[in-house]
Amino acid sequence: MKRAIVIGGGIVGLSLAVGMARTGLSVVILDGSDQEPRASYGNAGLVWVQGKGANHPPYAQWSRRSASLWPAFAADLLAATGIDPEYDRRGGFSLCLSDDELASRAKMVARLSGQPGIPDDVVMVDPAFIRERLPKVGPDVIGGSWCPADGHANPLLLTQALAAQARGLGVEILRDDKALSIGMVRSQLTVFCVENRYPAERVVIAAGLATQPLAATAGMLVPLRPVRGQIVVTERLPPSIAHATPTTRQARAGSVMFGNSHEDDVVTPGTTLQILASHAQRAIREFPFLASARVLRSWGAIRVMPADGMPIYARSESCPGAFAVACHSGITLAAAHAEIVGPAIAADALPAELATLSSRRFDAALAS
Amino acid sequence: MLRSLLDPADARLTITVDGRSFDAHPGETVAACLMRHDLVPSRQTPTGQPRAPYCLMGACFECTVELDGRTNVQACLTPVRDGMVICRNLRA
Amino acid sequence: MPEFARVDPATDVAIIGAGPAGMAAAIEARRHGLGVTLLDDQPAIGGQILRGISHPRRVHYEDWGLPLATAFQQCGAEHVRGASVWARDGETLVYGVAGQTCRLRARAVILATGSMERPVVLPGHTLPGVVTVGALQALLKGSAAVPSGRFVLAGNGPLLLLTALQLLEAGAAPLAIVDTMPRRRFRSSLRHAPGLVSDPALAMSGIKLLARIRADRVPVFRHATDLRVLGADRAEGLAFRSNGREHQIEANLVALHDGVVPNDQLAVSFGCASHWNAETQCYAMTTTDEVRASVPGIWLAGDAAAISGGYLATLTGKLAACDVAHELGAMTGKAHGEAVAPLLAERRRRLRARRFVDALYAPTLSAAKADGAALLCRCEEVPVSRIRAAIAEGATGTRQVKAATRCGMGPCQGRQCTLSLVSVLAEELGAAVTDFSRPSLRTPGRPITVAELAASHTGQGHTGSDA
Repeated sequence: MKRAIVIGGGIVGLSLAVGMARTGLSVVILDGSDQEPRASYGNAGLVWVQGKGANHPPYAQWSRRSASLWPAFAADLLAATGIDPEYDRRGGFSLCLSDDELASRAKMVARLSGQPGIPDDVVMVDPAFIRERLPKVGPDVIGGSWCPADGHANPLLLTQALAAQARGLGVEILRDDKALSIGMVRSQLTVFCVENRYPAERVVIAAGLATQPLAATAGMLVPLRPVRGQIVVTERLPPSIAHATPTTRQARAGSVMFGNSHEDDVVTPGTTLQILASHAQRAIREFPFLASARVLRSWGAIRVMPADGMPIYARSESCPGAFAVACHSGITLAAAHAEIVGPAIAADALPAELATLSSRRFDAALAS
Repeated sequence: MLRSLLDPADARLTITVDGRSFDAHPGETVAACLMRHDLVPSRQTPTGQPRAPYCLMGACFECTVELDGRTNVQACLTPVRDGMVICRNLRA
Repeated sequence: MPEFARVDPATDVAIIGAGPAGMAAAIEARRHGLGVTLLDDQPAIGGQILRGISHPRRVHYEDWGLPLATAFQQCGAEHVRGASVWARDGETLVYGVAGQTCRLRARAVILATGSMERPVVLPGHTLPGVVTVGALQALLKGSAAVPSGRFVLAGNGPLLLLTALQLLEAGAAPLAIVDTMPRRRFRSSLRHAPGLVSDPALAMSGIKLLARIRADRVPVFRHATDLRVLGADRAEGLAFRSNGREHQIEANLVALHDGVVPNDQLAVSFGCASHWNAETQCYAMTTTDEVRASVPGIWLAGDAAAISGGYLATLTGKLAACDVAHELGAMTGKAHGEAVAPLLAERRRRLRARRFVDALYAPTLSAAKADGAALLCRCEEVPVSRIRAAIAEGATGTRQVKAATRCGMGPCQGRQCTLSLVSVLAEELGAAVTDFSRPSLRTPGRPITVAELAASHTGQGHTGSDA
């Protein structure tokens, strides 16, 4: 039986591992310790297509493809593990509170409209349309964009479900042996860790920010930057926000998570009062009823941002059988990673539709 | 469950809990007053389990009640005031 | 849009906590001419051990208590009651009083947030009618209330005996004391007993207490194990094993105690480092020169840093204030050295006595050995069995258990479950507690409304709506 090693046990690594295990590979995940940044614990859970790839149609198409696979992906996870990733796909809004926001959003929507290969269903909407679906929205919301294909899931339950599904497929998850490099030992692809070395036929690096240095040891260029996102979480509230937005979203259990901030190149997790307060100010403008809701906690997680914002799929030349996958939208792409990319990598290839999302695009940039 | 050591004649304040009136001593906390009048449970968990004050010093958040319209107020940190309106929001 | 926070006049020293450490720190800081604002979340001064001291009822306080409280009331410090601090923004503390957000800028912050009861885990312990022994103290001293019906005290620690005595004196007799100190623990703790000579009063007090209780004929069940609270919707009694037999005592109030631990939530949420103390089996704050926290501008005093009792809290309160005074230029280096030397010496002497007490009163009601049905996380209703299952399924640390079970994600944000969680992890994985990272805490240090958060800063951060 062919053996595969996935470095990284977050949502990206788990999705790929599940996809590969289904083809009959024997898969081992080398997962990092509790102390690693672990972006899978620090994101908002959007399964989102509107806005993705506005400047690059293949990425827009790829996001769509994954979103269309999500309902079956979620149902499958529930059936296989009994854990419900709480996927809701009722459409999503991006709410605008100023003319500038409205104008900038409209420009993005116009760019997307008429793009080949995707439905023309991202539209600008007026407050009446929004209010019909989000009755608690405040008077400061003067419009927004809407896409019926948008939704959200519970990232913690998704991680749990994927891990359970992986285990059910015979995937072994090892912790506490940190991967250092990938190389060839007498033509045998090998992962070198602190304690042991692991030979394998396939190696996929899906280790968040650590993907960049690890991929470099196998000659793959995966330029990533850390970005910190601060999020505020409330107590459980009665169902009040039926559609997700990037700034405010209500989980099925009732907690509302709000705030969408990006602090480039910050490597320390944590929160700042300035940003948390401005999240709160915006949340109240979007949904006035939130003013009296209780905030229980906040976090500022370090997340992964590829240099040009789009996912990176890399295939090594110096170490045949080695691949790397890095992205910001690991939740949205989880379905496609499990259903399409994992099996492709098992067959030692990357899907053709990802040609322009390959790491080779950075070679050109470097050359210039 | 609790009784006051103070002179009953000094229990001259009145608070309302779930629409009913109860006497209160100046200086006692809302949590102490609830327990004195056996008004437990004082809240329910998300799954409906009964809870009541536990640590009485602000560290456990079990004693939260709706007080004068503000939700999730820690009763153990709040001295009673004449006319206070408290709701336990217990579902049947 | 909610109004912006009330901005207090800036001060030299902000002290959080009006117990022995906070009051002693305030008095000392004022002696050096520093402006002091003391923020306390309780309705009156005294913290826990001196609760009610400004209106002393027929309750006995230690003899240093009343002079301390009087000196504090006269020292000229600003005192804000019901003030609950929830964030630190640079040099500014953010706190709330009855829903109003306030900002206080201070050149130095002394955290004197005291101690809290060690969380215990046993079946039925979240039922209405189960309280901590410290809660009975708070009710007696703060609200002049005592148990009126059938009640028992259970657990291990000097506070158990002290409280039983105080309640007896107030006319409320417990039906029983259920003492969970394991057999042979006294003997095995004796190797630390020589330290007791450093604090004879501490040694004598325990012996005196036991004698008084026997005289009042309160039954004491010793070496009790397998405790569980009986009842469906409220406490109806306590069951346990003692002397080879099963016992059940009918009661509508059950008070539990298993020692005290630092109330360090705020310090940790401010980013101050802590470390596991194997002797006291809980976290202690990491300090330099005894009183400086790992975050510049923050000092620690009293039990919040490490459990050492009420009197020592007054010493460390003084030490912290002296250090602050020196730092802010209100005290010369020479004067500082001369002032702290005797305080440090006395502290060292008295701390030797604590080693015996710490060994004697090590936890007995830990989650590590608890029945699976008992709730480890009260807020999110997570039983011990779910935690053990998450570990069996591969969780190897606090973050992973938290993510898998929601343990620690409720209103108390880990105050009542962190110690239990790390003890279960250590037990199930055959590891040391130090192998697991302490869950990090962020703003807010306690639940606040979105409006309070919105009012706390002018904002204008990077918030945007781009997905």
